[in-house]
Amino acid sequence: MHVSLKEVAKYFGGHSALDSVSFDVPPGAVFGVVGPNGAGKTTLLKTIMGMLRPSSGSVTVDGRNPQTETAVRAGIGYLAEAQYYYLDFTVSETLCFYRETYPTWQDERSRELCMGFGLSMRAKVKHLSRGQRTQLGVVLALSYVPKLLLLDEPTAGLDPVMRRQFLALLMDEVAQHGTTVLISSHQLSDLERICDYVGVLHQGKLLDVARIEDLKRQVFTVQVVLAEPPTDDFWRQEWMQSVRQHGRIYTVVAQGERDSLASYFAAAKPLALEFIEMPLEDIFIARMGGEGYAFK
Amino acid sequence: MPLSKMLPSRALLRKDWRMTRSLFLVFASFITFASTLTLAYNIVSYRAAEGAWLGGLRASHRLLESSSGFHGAAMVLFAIMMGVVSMGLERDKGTLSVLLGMPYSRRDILSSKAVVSLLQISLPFIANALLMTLLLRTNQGVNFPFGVGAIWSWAVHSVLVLTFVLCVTLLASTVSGKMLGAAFLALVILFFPFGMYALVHVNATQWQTTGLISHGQGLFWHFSDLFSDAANYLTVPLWLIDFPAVVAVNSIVHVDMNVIELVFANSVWSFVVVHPYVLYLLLAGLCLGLYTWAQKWFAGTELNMMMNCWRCPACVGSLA
Amino acid sequence: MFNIDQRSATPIYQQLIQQVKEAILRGGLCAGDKMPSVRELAGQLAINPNTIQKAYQELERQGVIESLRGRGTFVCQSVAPTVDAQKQAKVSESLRRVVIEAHYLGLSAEKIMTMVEEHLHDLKLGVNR
Repeated sequence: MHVSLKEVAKYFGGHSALDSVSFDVPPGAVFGVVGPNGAGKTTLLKTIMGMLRPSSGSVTVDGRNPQTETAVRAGIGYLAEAQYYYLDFTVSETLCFYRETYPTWQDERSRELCMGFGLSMRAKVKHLSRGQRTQLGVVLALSYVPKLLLLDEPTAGLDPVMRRQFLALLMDEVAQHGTTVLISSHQLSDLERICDYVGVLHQGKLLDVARIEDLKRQVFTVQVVLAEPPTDDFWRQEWMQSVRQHGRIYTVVAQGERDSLASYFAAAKPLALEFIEMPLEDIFIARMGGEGYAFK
Repeated sequence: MPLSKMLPSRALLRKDWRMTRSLFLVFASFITFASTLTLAYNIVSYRAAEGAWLGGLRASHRLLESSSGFHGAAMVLFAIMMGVVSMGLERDKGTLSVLLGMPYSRRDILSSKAVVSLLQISLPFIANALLMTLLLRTNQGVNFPFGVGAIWSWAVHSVLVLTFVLCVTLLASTVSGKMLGAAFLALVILFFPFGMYALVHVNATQWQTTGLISHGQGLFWHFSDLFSDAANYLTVPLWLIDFPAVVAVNSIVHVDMNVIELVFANSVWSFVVVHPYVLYLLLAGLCLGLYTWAQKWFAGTELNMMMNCWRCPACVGSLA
Repeated sequence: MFNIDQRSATPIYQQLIQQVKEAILRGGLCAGDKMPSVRELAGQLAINPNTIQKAYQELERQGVIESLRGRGTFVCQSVAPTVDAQKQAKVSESLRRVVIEAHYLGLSAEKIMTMVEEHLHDLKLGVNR
């Protein structure tokens, strides 16, 4: 399913949750949304889902408005950290409700997933643990093979084993059905594995959208040891994000191709020159110019 | 539009029925106990007493003509609870946001609740009316002070009044964010007039004992009497207890078409002429109006992060 | 079978390509062996299938693997390395970069040569020893 947002803004009583957000997600792509708490990730996903009406701008899923056209929602799946169920229903009653709601429901799939997770059909939802409720949510979201999956911090609160399992399941789903996925998460390491594109949301604004491999190819931390301090101009290059000095050791965060960076620093005949691997978090912070994140 | 399209989907109906199932069962038992079982017990004791006119049958008669205060209030409270739970519980527990993300229109979501609540309120009455009719027909030897017509008019009348209560409550819970708020709103609307009157009357009696106002004279007592009539008309539970339009009818086919006269000796209005079917039609019209209003309100509702914001001027105002 | 190092600056698809090639050299994958399907690998490694697809496409382009319609993807019978002047220049540049780094880390020229020979031997490419 193709998702398209154009200048979407959303206000809640004077507070602007989304501000002029525009992007396109081609069918079959996995799009990650990163951002601090309160950035508007949940609002964004709910607006795409059709639960909220944008104050201005337009949201289209496959060319149709998910808020007004109910049939589109039959192909959208939603999984959030906050889960709401009919607590008095048993697992099988909950499955039955979803089965009758979604025409594309696959019974064998739901049974297979339930058995895989070890969920008892007769247990009441209120008696399930938090982790089990998340698993139930996964079963419900995947069993009707939605063409668009919206995931709002689905791995928060999961232990590393379950997290990996969840991602594996998700990737299997994408590989098998070509599902379009929008996932918001704090876990950049997860997003790195599974996303085609990653977008940064900060205070309701979409700062940038990039491919992870592009990011990794363009930002490096270089440690240079120089016998004599070079001229001031040496450090005034615009592709240098930041320079920190500790005696004769200079740590530079720089944007550019690795080979050209190496040549530039080699020209200064350093005593030592090292490229330090940067975790994705630091790359992000450097790339976004420290906007919204403390980077001193 | 084919009928299947006009009704909300089966999945919704089943889910809504399941949600208020326990409440429905308690309500159904209550009605059954109050009507059929009481009647059956009275018949048995009547036969045991070899035809001596026992007060037991009078109790059933009274139920059919005008429920006791307890029955009336209890039925209204049940109806309020059903209305509040069906909509308010979804909001409170957050499942409304799940529903809105599903391929259901808002119209279907609300209409499913209305249909299920209506069914759950009317089924006990219909079933009991059938059973009581059966009891009457199979016990020819007993001298009943009422006929089959009375049974069915009781059933129809109660269903209509409780449907009205339901519509008010459904509207209240669509408007109000939480179950508690909805319940409070409904209670105020339905019980308020009588409650207010009682408050005023008690106070007036107090003043009278202190000699400030003399009883039975003056403008105050006229207004008080006026208000008592208004209170009688406007307090819904009293419609179940002492609705002037309920008349003992002898058979289901021949309905007594006499016009009912209401004479209030002390009030400004000498009498009000009222025909039962006009009142019923009015009530039905009111129910429809309230339901439509609830649908309109629900369609314009926006759920914010806390799932309880509706029609915030800031939200709606900033729509381009 | 494959391990992805997320901390590395190398993109994941390139790591996959490298690891497939290494596996073939070391004998983990033999000529004619069936490669895991994109879907299987995506599920096993919890990686975006597009990334895996990209790696497979590149490997196919380089003639390392081939996909047979309806049967799957297999390791090519004979991996014929193509001599490409441009690619050679790139390899030479990368080597130069590595040598620069190694030097500034304090490795002598002999140590660097020893390391190269060790890798060649490990990958069963060396002639001596």
